[in-house]
Amino acid sequence: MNVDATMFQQAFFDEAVEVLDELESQLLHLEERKSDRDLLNTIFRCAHSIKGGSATFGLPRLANFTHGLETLLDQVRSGKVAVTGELCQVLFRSLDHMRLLLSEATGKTSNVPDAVELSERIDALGQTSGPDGGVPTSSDADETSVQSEQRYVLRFAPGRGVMRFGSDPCLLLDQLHDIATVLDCVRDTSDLPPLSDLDPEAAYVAWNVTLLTSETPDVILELFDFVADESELVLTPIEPVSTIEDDLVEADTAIVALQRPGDAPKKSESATLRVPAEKVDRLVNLVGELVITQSMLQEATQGIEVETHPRLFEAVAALERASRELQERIMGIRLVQLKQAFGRFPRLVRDLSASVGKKIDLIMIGEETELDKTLIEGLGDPLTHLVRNAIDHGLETPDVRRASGKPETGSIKIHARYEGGNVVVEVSDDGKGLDRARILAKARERGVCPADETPSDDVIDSFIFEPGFSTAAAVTDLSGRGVGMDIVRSTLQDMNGSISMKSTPGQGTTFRIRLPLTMAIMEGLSLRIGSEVYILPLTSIIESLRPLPEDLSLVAGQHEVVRVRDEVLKIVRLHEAFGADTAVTDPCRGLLVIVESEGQKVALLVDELITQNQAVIKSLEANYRKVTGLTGATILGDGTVALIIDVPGLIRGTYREPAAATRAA
Amino acid sequence: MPKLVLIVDDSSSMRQMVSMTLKTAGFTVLEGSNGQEALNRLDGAPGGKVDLIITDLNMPIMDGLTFIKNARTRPSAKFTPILMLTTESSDQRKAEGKAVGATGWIVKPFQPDQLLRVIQKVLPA
Repeated sequence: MNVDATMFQQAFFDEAVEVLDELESQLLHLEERKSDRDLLNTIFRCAHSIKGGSATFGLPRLANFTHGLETLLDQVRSGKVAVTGELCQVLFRSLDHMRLLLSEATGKTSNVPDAVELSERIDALGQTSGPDGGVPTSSDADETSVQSEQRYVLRFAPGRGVMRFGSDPCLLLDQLHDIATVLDCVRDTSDLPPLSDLDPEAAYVAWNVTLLTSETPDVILELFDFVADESELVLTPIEPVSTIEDDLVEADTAIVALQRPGDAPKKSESATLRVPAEKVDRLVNLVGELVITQSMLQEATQGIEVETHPRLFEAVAALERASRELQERIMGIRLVQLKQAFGRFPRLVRDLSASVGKKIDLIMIGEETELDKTLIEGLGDPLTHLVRNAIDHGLETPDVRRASGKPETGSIKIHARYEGGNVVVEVSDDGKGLDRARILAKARERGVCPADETPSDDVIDSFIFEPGFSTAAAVTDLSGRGVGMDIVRSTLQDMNGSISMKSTPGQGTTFRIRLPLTMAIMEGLSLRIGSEVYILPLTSIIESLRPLPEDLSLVAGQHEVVRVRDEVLKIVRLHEAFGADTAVTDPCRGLLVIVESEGQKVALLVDELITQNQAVIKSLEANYRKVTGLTGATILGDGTVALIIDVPGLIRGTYREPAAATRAA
Repeated sequence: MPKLVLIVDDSSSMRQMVSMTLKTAGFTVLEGSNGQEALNRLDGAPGGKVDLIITDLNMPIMDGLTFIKNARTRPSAKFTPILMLTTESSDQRKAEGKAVGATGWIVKPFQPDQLLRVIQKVLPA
């Protein structure tokens, strides 16, 4: 159980009542016995006791008032202030006030006004210039200062008589372990007299301790407070030996980073090789081919009995394990820390914020998160755009911030982390958030949103990703050319990533970028529509189901929806979207696959699900051209081509345009 | 054997708080409401000895400094750590304490955990 002073408030209340009663009865004698030292002492002690207790047990008003009174009474008892009729008046009035304050603290009265005039009288009588900074309230003596570790040598030579006061030098030294790493401790027995002259109650031994700590010198010396006056206590900082080495390593890394920003990651110890990026890319491709070939092999074994060819199956399984590991390791070579992409931001923020006259703090978390090298390169521009946006449009000037009760210095946070099979990078600011009214107006102006519709906040927010969309009043130097956000989004989509945004007016905006760990290989679920095979990214799939007729319905006469437990989801007929011929047009005969992207769900109608595969992603753009609704293609084990569905794109299309889903009767 | 602490203070709420704090931390506690009572408690303890004394200074009948001076005359209390509860840590106060044989001080007002931290300076864990 943690003992807290306030647990004893009630005990103090009871005690205070008694003390005040005693004070009253003593005060009644005061006028006849002005020079009775004991009486004066007792009166002083009453005030002292109330002051100490109220400060300890959490009654600041009473403590503050009594403090002045106690100072006055101390002077009275030492004869510096005379006992006059006026003094007694003041004392009685003070007693009344203390009773009031106590009663307020116990909840019996409320709103007791400050006895300003009385306090002034008290101070005047005591000839003090006012409370000396008020009553000290318990403060936490442990202020840990945030500073880096520093080495010191502490010489501690206890005075001869410290043990006679009950101090134990060894115990004092032990305390060092709580706040520092003790690197060395050397005993100094040079003062030790011969045994015959030794006084067993005296201290002769001294110590020189080398320690490493991030605490400040006064915190270290404070440990020896009790014996400081009679002991030798010298604390000397010493320069850490490794500073110069640290500087050299830093310089080295900086130089390398300047020369070749995109190469294989530099390791500071052990042997490294410089490898041209194309060689690694070709290796990745080869591994991709290997994976496809291996799955072809697996497919080919489907028709064979395990028992008839046990060694074949063993070999295929071993091959699968080896190629999976090879794949992981090769992909690992291409992984580079995000630190690289983040490196430019401290300087960028500093320069930009100065030029727009705003105070901005940049916090970057997760620099060690690793990402495929190509993705890191592609991430640079979008990130920069978001940061510039935050500085230019998101964060307010110090004046505006102060006026709205925010700290003058705004903050931008870049936070990278792993989430599921993805890397998430969030750029957030604590600025003024999006002006949704303005965005909606602009959206209507540009025809992006019909004039009679009022979409939800989420949809309004997504308008900023439309081409040519910018609500900057004037085109500023930084951003606001109106070509920003849509390019950001399409850049990210090209990397199989996505971006979403959350904004709270007055509080700030957060952009969330999601990127796959690698662009080359994806876990997918293959499905059939007619005679065609398609692949869905596994991470986007929630569940699949065959609906009952009563779960289906039509909204606004044209949008098909399905009820799944307590949600109503839009149905997308993939065979129509992709123009694939199939006999399965009734959802109750086919399968509805519920997919999700950026918080939104949709139900895709397919014929059937086939199996889970690892798909080596082949680019459509490189081999054909960009196709809406698809993010790539892959070669299946049997050699046929399967197209990979772009789930985010599909969902976005579904929600934005009222789908003219004409149902075949 | 749990360590025995003698707490001396004329404020009963203060004694309660210190006593509870110490007991929760595993100590056994003796109490006195002024210096004279405290001396009696000390003499009545097993072997006339306690492991630690914590005393207020402003008390009726016998104040803290006098109590400390007297306590130190007992051979069994010659090296016992004695902590003063003081509202100020002025050099004068410290010197007065040292003169009568106090080991150290705790500044009032204090929170229970601060008390335990200071005790660590003079009493092995």
